[in-house]
Amino acid sequence: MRNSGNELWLELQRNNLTRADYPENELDLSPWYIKTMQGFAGWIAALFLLAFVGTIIGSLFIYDNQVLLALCGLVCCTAAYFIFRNDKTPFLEQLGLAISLCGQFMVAWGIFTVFSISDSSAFLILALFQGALALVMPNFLHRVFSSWFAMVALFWGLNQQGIFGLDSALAAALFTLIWIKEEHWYKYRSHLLPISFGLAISLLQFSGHFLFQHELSHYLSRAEVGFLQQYSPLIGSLVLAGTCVYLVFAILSEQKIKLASPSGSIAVIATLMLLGLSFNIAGVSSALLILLIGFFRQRLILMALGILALISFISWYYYSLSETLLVKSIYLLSIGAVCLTVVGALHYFSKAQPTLDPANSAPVKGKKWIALATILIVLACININIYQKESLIREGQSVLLKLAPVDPRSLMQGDYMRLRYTMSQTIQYAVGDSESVDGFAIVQLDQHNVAQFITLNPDTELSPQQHKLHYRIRDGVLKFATNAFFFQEGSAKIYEKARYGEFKVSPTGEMLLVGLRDDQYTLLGTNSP
Amino acid sequence: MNSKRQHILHWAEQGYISPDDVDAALSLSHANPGNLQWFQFIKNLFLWLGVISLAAGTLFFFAFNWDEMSNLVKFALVQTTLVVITLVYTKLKPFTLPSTAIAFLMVMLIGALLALSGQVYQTGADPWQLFAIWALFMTPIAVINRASTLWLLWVLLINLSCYLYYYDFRGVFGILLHYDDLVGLFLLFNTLLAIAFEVLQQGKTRCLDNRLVVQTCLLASGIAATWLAIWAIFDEATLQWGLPCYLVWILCTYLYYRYRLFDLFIISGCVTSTIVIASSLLIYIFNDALESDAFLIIAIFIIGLSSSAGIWLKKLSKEHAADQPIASDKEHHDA
Repeated sequence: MRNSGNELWLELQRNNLTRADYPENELDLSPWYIKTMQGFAGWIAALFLLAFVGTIIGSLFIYDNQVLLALCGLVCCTAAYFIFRNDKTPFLEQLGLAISLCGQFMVAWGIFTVFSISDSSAFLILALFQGALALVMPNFLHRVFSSWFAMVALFWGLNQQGIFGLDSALAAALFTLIWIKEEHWYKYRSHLLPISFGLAISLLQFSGHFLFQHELSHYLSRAEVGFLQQYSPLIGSLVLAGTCVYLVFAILSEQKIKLASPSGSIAVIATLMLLGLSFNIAGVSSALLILLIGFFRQRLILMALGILALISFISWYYYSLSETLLVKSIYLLSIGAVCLTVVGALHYFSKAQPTLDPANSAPVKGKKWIALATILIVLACININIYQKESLIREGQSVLLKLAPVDPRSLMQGDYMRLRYTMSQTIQYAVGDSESVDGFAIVQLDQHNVAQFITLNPDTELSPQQHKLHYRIRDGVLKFATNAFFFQEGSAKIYEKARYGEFKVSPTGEMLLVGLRDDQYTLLGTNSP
Repeated sequence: MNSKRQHILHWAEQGYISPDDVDAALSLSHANPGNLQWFQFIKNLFLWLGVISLAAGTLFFFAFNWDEMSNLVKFALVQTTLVVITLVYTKLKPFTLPSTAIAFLMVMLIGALLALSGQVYQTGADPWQLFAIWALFMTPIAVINRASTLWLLWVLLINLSCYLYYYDFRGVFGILLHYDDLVGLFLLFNTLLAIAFEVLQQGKTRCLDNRLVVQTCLLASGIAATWLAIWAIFDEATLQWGLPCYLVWILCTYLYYRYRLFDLFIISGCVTSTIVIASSLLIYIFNDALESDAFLIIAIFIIGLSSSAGIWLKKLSKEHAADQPIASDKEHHDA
């Protein structure tokens, strides 16, 4: 690191851009995990300090001394400020961090006892307090923590008023502004950079909450519906969109690309398109924003944060209940198709340009064949499996197993139903106390093909009406083939009447669940094609 | 990625570069990404967005379990797509980002196909089998592609499968395994994986691009080891092997990555773990007299330990960077 800084310095010196010798006060480029370790330890230490304060002046926490408690907290924070300002030794900085965290906790405790935890003004006061700390405290980690906490407090305060989406938009706008103006506001770097990291963390956190917006608003909103309550999500989205467009303008102007030029207008159109597409999936635009800024300002850590966030938002999208999985999948598939088309087009138009890919000249011809062979083997295995199952469904013996009453709550899980069979208890009793075991049960079929348990003895001579069924006991639960019946999302109602599980059974005892039937033996639904 | 911007703006803040010269310095040193780099970045961004959306869209589609579409049509659809994607893969230049992205899509489609066949034929194979077979099927693709993305997915699948297997069969081994045995298995398993990857990486046949996978495995096993040790400290009676196990693990890991193969990330992890364990020991010692003074002593102890660890780690980082400036640049490039 010293080396790269040195070289850069010499280069600048040659061009008369610097005056002095190589500065002593070197840039702290220590990796993120060292900072994380220190922040983590600071937190634990703060908890112990808090316990110390609590045992010494425990009466503050117990009686009606909220104001005094908050004042003590303020004293702690002030002490931390002086520690930070006067001394830069790591031990004292770490001590200051712990003392301040402890003080902040006391202030928060005080505020929440004066107001109540359901009062939004308590959160707003706390947000102001943390915001002030982020600006004042001369310590990197402290500023990151405080700006993050400030946004969290603001988030909860606004949410209790029934206002959603404004906080994340605010975080996104401030974050973007700080990074776009980085080279103009370099005098305030030590203030603004840590704050921007805190904002980025809170932005990702809120976008995750945003996914559950409806649920949250249902629980939290007690206020009357006013203008802000009604339009805040829209305003938030607009601010976020405006921020993204502003970022694109900033990038274009830095690359000296005119807005009216072909590439300029393509960039703006593409941004608007991406924004429109990602509108539905909460958080994706925030993640993209952080990723873009990470590249724009050459910060690997921001890029990594953006990528992780992108992946987690898409997986959360799976659980969002606003649309069916079919709609979501069509939506995602079309985004994917559009993106890959764009890649193809870019590739086509840039063929003449040299690429930055590291040239790798290793002989790799055989590797393509390995890929192809792997896929062929995979397909062969799966298709053989399909063929076997299909012939079992065609030729196997139908057996009905009576279902034990199904727990209605599991019907709510959406896309599958948990099955239990009345026969399970009898068999498990016969098997004895075993946690995990495989075996065969011999059953007798009546005229409706409903099975009755006979014995576990595998050597029994089977009569024409008798069949053997393969069972597995896993973790104390008995399973015939499967305990889950999958059905189309949203069709749970149909299967509430299910009384029998219908299986196809091979002579060797292999079983396949093919459908559910009601008490009149009417088929409710199948799995067969 | 470069740190030129950070250096220049830092110097400007300190007053070594005059305000009028900041723009000149930035453009002179090419601190900002240029046209070509932006072009490449946007291309890669769209590529990965497209691949992730397609993979997620496919998984969502089959999770919906659409009744209108017959199962054989569903199978035909995934299999055809898989073949097409594989043909695309064979046309791509190997070891580039596009080829990794397409390989990732292939692997996800294999997973979708396996999940689909489990869903259509409700055979109720034990869940661990799905993930084990998926991992098995993707292994050759990961080996020829070398990308950490694929190997990370592989490690995840193997761990998941192992966990589910344990969950199904905890009674099988005669004695009933406990939760702490699961953590112990997790530790052992990920350490073995890390060793295997380390050996593979240093051997002649390269099948890994960078150190991300080894680091992830060691991070997972480190968390497990620390967990066990904390457990052992506070609940000696049931877990006598916890502490010795932890000591051996942490010592071997530390010594190896400090002296044989320098890896600051892993050393930092060891340090963090040591701080946690040392504090736990202190709490245990104070157990009977856990009151105000003890709290203060523990707090000061943690602060002292972590700040000196910070100094030491930064020093190590600088020393190492001074020794091998090129190596660290190369690592960044790989990442």
